[in-house]
Amino acid sequence: MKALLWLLRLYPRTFRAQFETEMIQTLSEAQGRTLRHHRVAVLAFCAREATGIVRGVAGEWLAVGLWPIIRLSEERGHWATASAIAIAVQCLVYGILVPIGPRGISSTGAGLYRLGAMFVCVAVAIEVSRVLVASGAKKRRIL
Amino acid sequence: MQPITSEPRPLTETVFFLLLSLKSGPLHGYGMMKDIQALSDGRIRLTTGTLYGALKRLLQEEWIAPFEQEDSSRDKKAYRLTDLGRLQLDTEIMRMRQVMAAISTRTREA
Repeated sequence: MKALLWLLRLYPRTFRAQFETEMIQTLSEAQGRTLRHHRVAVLAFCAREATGIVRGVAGEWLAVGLWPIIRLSEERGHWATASAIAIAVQCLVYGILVPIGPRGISSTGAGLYRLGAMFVCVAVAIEVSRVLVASGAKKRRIL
Repeated sequence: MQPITSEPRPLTETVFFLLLSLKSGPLHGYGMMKDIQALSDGRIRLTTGTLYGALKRLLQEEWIAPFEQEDSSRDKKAYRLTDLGRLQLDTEIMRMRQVMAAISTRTREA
């Protein structure tokens, strides 16, 4: 439970101000109900909640980061699409990951690193798209 | 977000069940989690992170609103459906009914 409470601190400040107390209450209630079950169930509960919080934290920070793009799109005739932003973020992450990659390694190692970076980028793009659509973006246009 | 009257679109499952759980009256966070689990026969088990992420967006869109309780000593914050949220939910239910009607027409033909 302590780990879950610690994870809640990772949310953006505005989100925490609005929901942190409620989230702690809800977590405590849900945990209290689970504690009556077997230890495995409690572990499963904690893992599930931790995953949900981490995804929520990622989504909220993503929304904070993408806010200027969404506003700009709204002001200039809704040009931004969820998929276009997801692809742009994917390219950006790849452009960051590749230059900071390990140096002086074999070509196989470098290839594997690039492959890994590509998987990370695809995962990020999927998450960005999910967050955008969940926050009201249409698949074709934002908001 | 476009107003529902100009361009209705399908809701995500989480949003649909959240609105549906509030249709019968105001609920607090844990109440919604339990109600949604019951409504979906245990298929949907929202985590706290997912629930409050969705609640934040629904509050922003004014589809739900905090429920002002007469007994302010109760520290649990409850939420209620707004008129806009009710309209959105009804539109989605109507859309689903149309889909069901299409399915039953086609399966009867087959």
